[in-house]
Amino acid sequence: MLDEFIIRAIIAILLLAINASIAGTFTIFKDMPFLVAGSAHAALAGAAMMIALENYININPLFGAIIFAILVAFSAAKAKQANVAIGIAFAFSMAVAVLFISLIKEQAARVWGLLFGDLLLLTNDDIFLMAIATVLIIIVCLAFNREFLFISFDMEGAMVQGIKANFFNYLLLSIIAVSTVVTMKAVGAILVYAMLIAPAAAANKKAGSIAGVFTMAAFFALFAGFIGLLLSIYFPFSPSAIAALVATSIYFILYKKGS
Amino acid sequence: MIEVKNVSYAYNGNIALQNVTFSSKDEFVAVMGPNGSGKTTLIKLIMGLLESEKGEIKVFGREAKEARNLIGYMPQKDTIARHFPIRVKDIVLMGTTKRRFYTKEDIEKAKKSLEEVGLPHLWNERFSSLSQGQQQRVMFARALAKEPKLLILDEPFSAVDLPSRDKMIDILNEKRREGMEIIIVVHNINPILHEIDKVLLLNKKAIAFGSPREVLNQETLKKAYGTDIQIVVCKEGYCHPLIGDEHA
Repeated sequence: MLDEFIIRAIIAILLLAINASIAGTFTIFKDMPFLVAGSAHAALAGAAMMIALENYININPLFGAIIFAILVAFSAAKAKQANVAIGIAFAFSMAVAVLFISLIKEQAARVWGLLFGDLLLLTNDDIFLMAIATVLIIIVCLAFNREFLFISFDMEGAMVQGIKANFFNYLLLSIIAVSTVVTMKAVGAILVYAMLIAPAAAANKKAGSIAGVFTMAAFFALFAGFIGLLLSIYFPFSPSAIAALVATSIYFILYKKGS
Repeated sequence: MIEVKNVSYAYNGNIALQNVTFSSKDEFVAVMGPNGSGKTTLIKLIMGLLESEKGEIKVFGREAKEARNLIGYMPQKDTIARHFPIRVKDIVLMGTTKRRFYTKEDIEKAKKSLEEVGLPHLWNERFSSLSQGQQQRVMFARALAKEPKLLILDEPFSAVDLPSRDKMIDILNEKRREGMEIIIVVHNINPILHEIDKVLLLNKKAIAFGSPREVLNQETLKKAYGTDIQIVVCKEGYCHPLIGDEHA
């Protein structure tokens, strides 16, 4: 009989793979991988702020994390040099995070939990939130797949075609930010970058079609996640770290093969 | 029909265009000038992608933004993404409609455009696997698939092989005869000099606008490029400026 922690970890890996497939792939198509790192670290600031304000507003810290991550996405969407905007927002939010962590010393471990994440320590609430967000992300991306693809390929062409390209750009980057936040609870703010970006980047190297990239990215993330989980059961390894190592190794192997 | 009156535009205080005025009706117009002369800015203003700070632009009697559904656009090759495995059909279909799902008619329209540019066999191919000339022709097919009243092309012959370029010029001539209005931004005007009705010589200001015979001479070219430009007069009496690495 499987332990309930393991069951939750398996569900989390499935959800993580869906997010890596959708958000990861569009991040690669938009050529903005740094957005994931920026959103994840901004999310820490949001979570730390909500924990610091817990005595006044009792809301799940992840909502604060989502708001901060979306703010980074918005600054990237608005800026002419998206990576510069993300970098500045990254630095700003890390400063805010450290400031709040210094104010909530006794609760700081909860924020550090988000920094490193743990697949085996997820609660039912965490899984529920991940599932709801993932379903929303699937619905939005299925509904606006054509628009997202068009703006990733040619933003100005999309505008001339009558597509509300700016709106869809904000929407897509926000989706990526939300996806980053909900998955970082499982793998942590540092390793979420590897888990969302590496499978999609590897799939983009190997796949021969758009659909192929989505499918292959999901498969790579699933494979990396399960290897991480499996090894962590038998050895005292962090499952997220192993998963991230496997995911990035897949990229390097395919990169080497392709070069 | 395009009317541009006293239009100015600046990027963060740096003037890109100053008091540009010209108009065209059912014509094939080339916009030429040195790098940074405001050619791309001008067409972005005509398409409503930028808003002019001063002046007025009307496209078929409408505000620029309102006329987008009448415009087919082929952007500069460097502005499009080539790093993911998008297929030719996905790109050409983009030009057919803004609806969320493609109809049978949209697919037929896209196939017809790809056939027009001579690449029907590439329908299912990966865009990134094509030669630069083929990629440019695919982008051209996307602009045609919209069946626009006004076709705007930004450096369409850049890095294009000669057969592809000649094929594109033949199609432009055919579209022109069918009544399509065309604005083309070019660095090297020579390949289309005999085909166009008007030239706008630009260097932030409109240096000259008129037929190629009226506009292209050593005096106007020097004014636009800031240096003497060699010209070759062909037997039909056109002045071919020798700009860049391609000569007349």
